[in-house]
Amino acid sequence: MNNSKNPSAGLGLGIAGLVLGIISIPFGIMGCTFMLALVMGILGITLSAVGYSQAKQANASTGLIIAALIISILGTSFALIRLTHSTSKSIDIFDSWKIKLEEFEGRSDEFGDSFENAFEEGFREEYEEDIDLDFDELENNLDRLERDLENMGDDIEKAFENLSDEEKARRLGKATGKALRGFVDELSDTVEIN
Amino acid sequence: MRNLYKTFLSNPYQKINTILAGFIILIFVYSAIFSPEKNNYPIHSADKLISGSYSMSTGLSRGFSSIMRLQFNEALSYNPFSIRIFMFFLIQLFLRIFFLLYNRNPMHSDIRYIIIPDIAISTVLFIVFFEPFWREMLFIRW
Repeated sequence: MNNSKNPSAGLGLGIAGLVLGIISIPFGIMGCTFMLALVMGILGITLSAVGYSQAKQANASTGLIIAALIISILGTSFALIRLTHSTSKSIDIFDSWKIKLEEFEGRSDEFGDSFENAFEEGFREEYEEDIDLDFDELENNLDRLERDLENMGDDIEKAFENLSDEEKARRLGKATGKALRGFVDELSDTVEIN
Repeated sequence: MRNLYKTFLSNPYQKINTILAGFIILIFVYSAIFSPEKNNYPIHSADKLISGSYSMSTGLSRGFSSIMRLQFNEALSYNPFSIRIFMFFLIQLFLRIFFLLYNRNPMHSDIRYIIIPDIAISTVLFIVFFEPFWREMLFIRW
């Protein structure tokens, strides 16, 4: 055991711990800076504890180091209270959003059912026959159509790569005209049926 | 040089005072560098990051910056307690400088007669100036 008296053993660490502890108190009490205070407080406790053990080993005075330890613990406690408060607030907010989402999902299902019923009713009124609607299949078909359109876009881009702007405009115009013609024909057929 | 050492670093109390005074000056420099218009503060509100909601200290950095630019009404609009908290740090800075100079020759005075009033004054100032914050913290509704 080393009983030699070194009056400044652990003092440097004690001073650092005390400064960190003092700063952590006002920072820990404010909601915006408590994380900073938590880090400073924990660092203050660690430094003070190491300083205390050094001072004890060298039989040096420990008054300042104990004060540093107490103040750092106080600052850390303030920061921990704030952290707990903040976390509980975030859990409350999460829970309220979860409830809102569940309510919305419930309403969304209701909306979907109402829409489906109204659509079938409207179809029956209009065409005087029942319709067997499969919305999942409809959704799948729409997804497929979207993918096809994307692929087509890539093909068009490749095909148009080496064409002049004038040629691009001519081909696009022709394709659009054809598509519009087809659309008008389809529309005329539908009107004739009705 | 020897005088400077005597004033600022001769004993633990002087060292602590010097570091705290330096830290307060750093807070003021931080407030002066970053501006509320650009809102380019590197330290963000921990409470807002965790809970997503505003706390009593929201807008304090912007308030401090406004005070540094002598725009006191603007400071109050960012945070109603900004002037109060700024005053605490300003008084603390003066106190640190005062005690540093008062305690220039620590060998000639009993340090306890300086430390005890310093602790008492600082504690009272902290309780008074941070009253809304500790009151809010102690009466938090869980």
